[in-house]
Amino acid sequence: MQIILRRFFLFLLILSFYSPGLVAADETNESNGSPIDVMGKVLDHDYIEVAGKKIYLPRIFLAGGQFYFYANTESALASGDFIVENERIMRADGPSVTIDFSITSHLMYVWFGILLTFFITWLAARRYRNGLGSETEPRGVWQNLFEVFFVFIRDDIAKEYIPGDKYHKYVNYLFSIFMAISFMNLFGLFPWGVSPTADLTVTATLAAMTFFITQFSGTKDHWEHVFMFPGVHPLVRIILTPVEIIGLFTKPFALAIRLFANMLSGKIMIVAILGLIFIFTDMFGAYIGVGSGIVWVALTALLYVLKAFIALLQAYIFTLLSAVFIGMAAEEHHHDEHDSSVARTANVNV
Amino acid sequence: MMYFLNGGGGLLSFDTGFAIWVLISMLVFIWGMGKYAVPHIVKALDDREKRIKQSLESAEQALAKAEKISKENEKAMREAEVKAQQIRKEAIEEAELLRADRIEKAREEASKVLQDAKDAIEQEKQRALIELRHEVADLAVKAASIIIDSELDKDKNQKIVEKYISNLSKN
Amino acid sequence: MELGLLAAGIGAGIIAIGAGIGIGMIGKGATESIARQPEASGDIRGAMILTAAFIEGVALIGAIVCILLALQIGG
Repeated sequence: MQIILRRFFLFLLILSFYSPGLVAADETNESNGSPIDVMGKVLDHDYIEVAGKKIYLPRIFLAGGQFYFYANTESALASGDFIVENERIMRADGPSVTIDFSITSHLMYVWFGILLTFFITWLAARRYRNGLGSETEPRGVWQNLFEVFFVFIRDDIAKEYIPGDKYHKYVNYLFSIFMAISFMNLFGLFPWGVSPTADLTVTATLAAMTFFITQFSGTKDHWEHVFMFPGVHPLVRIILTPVEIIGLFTKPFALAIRLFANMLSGKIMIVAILGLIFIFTDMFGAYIGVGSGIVWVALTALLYVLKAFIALLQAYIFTLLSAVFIGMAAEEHHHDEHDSSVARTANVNV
Repeated sequence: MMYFLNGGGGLLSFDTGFAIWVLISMLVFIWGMGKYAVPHIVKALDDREKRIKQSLESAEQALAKAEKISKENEKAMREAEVKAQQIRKEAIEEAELLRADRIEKAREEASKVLQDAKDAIEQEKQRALIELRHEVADLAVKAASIIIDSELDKDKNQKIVEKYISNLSKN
Repeated sequence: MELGLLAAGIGAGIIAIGAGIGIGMIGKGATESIARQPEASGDIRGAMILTAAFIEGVALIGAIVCILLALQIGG
């Protein structure tokens, strides 16, 4: 079993080295002669690639208050309702597309990620509900592995950073986004796979969810600290209140950008380093290009290990910071107690 | 930029339609997780933890009880040991006392016997000495009489000899 | 056009310097505190990774700006 798994992953690894080459070969033939298309590997597409074959995804447009459904981009253009203008899809009779609800490769991988997470968690839940793990010890590698992650999220993230008994409510959210983001990050390691977290839209949506949960779990104290600083001079409030209000928004913004930038840079680095093979081929000829490939492939293998680590680390950091922000908002400050204790010690000193 | 044709956003742009898709998916996902998956696991883990805690507590209680019992036993044993030691010590002391007494008595007796023997020897010696003196005096007188018979008068000689002998015994 | 590429390169270099100094200082602080208190090494390591991630996030924003600049001009 282990040997089969090892061979399978090795095969995937080799294939993943192979795919940029095929894509680069395609691209060089048709486009502007640049040897490798870095952005093409990074951006969203209207197809997903499976074993080098492109499967085109449906397009859904909201244009002029009306929904249009097409099986893929080609059929949308063939129907005559839509044309390409300024490299954007437009309605043929004028108005531009209001909202583009098209299913894209990143969306597919978001769905893969959440479905995988849900499936795994549901399987584990069924096991636990059957008494395996709740009445006995957890059995098997997968259940133990699952429990390691779950207990880690619950104890080391939720319980640690969200005060009091409030953490119970957030375990679900934190665990869900941790697992989903981990899978989404790791999908980028598969051949032809893309990590949807290397898309700003996905991370921004995730960060927005954290933002809203944070604000809805804010206590009276939290809002008091944002808008009215108790025990601070009114003139200082004029400076501090805007800073705090801006701080409310910069926190999730940084959260989104961090995850996005980490994933994107990993992807770009791998594509760029493998692209050096083609650049060298262009510059010095095929033999030097392919010969130096050994170096670039070794470097890429190292980067893969780093990327796998960073994928989990960034999921952890996203979850951790979400928990920290929620915990900061949900915290109950006890000014009165604090003040009276100070007064007590002062009395004792007198 | 060809990429807007592909759907989704550009590299650093935010695409509303895609965001709505992601938001809906995530909301359904988190709702589903919260309804069908996570609570069961949390409950199972909590139950297990509670059970483990309970069994640990009961084990601890049992351990404490056992420890208490063993401590009591040990205490009793130690007390018994102390008592036994004390008894032994007392017995040894008594025996020692008895022995010393007997030795003393024996020694006294021995010394008494010795003293008696010494006294008897002394008496015998005195008597023997007196007897010897008489005998010697007699012998001397006899010898002197023999001499005096031939030369001098007997009484005078006897006196001289006796005087000599008493001087002798004094020295 | 060449100046734009130059700007992107110089920007990436400055980002690397800044992030390097920042992460280096975190590493210094963390190793020193682990040496001083080896029993708290787990907490310190967690805090170190977290802070390094903050710096990395900022650095990567800069790096992406540089990449965009280079691609916009060069590609």
